[in-house]
Amino acid sequence: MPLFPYVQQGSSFARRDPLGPSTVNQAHENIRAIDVLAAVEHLSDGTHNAPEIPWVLGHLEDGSPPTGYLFNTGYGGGTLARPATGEYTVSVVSGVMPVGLDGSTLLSSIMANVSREQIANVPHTITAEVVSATSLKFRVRSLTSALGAGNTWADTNGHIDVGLHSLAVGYDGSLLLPYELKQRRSFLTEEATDWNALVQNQGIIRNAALAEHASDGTHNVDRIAKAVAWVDWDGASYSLAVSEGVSSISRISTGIVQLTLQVDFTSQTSAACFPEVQPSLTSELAVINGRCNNSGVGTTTFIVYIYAYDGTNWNRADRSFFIPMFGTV
Amino acid sequence: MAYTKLFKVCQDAPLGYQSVNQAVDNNTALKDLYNEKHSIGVGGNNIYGVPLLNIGRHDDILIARTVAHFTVDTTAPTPTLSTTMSGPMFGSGVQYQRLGTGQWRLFVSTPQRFGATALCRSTASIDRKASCYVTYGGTSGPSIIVTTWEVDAGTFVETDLDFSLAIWAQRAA
Repeated sequence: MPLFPYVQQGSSFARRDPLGPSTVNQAHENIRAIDVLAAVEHLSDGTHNAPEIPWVLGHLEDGSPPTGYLFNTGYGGGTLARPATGEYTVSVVSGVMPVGLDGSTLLSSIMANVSREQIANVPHTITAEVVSATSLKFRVRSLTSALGAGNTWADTNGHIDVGLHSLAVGYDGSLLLPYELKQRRSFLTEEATDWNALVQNQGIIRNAALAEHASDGTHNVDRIAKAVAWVDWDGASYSLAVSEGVSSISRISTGIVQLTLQVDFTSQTSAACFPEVQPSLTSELAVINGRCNNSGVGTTTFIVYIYAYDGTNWNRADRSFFIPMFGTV
Repeated sequence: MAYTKLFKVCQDAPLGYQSVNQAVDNNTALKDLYNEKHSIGVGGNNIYGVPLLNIGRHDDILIARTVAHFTVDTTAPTPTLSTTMSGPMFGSGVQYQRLGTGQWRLFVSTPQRFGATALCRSTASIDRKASCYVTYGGTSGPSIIVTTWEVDAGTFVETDLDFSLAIWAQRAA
């Protein structure tokens, strides 16, 4: 593994020592080291470019056609459709996705969640089908039996959250200006190999970094979660085991948990989550659905609903779970 | 450390030590910005000796650490699992154990808290579900047990199905 070739310099170095070329030379090299580091998972304009960050992420509100929220430019002006009850297609413009969505030849991990209000009443499931290199179909189904009274399911319309991962695109090339290492007795501001290149390169790096990061380095792009939580159920109560961006949790009733975030999203529709339940046994079938139930009023909350199957019926159940939450701040 | 936009100069203009110092500080500020959520090579190695995170990779609890798509091959006498993946959670390659029809134990190479979201791939109008059971202890160590179900005659039956995983974990130490 190559070492990060950045050499930390002391900020008062230039006062005590003669102003030789090595200080500015190292500063040039350090900027180039940062540029190389950033290029691993960012494009030259600062766009995140990594398989672990969904290239397409959004919330679909049911309709014919559905309405999309959160989808970024990577979505490329593609189309959302509801070709049949409970079916939603997400199609992206050819050439916009880094690679095709055909999972048989390329990496494409998919996250999905049903977030309609009716998840409060019965469990919902969602599956994904790769239709083509630029199109996915999601199927939404819900329990039509009452809780505690059977296991009958049917296709159903509803809001959904989707996240599509793919391979990264090839790096599009550094924007840094060239420089030459200074020699002894050369002027630091000599044309074409001078101070200005360092100044401009610092600006280039900073502008690209601020495209999708705040000045403190935290991410401020919709494709990256604003909060994540591991919530444990010990048989009597829930606890927030590990989290970031979550200020508190509250058990509303059996199998219903509300999470309050430290940030406030602009709206409920510009929000998505992908909860996953921890079954009580390796052989247990449990379902969790989640949605943003309040935002834009100074605080944002998400609520999850957990159900477990006992072999015959579905019932509400308290279980440990994990949930990443996305939204526009 | 704060970043201060510096000035450009004309050829042979005098350049004082404070300007050079600020350039050095600006670099430090930019390095610190990226170090907040990215690896600069201090992630350490996993049990296979593979670095947890290479330089430049995102090292953030808010970003999935590994994403993967798993394909089940049922043509062999015993079904096998193949994967395309990105990230360090499975080390240099996925080590797995088939627990039964539609159930796999995937061995994870990290002592940190982790979780996963799973999704079934579908090719028919049949209700399907995938779930994850995360375990840290026991003789198997940290692992994810993925189970995939399909509704058959009104009952969920464990069935060999392709699935996707997005695995999240605490930031590397």
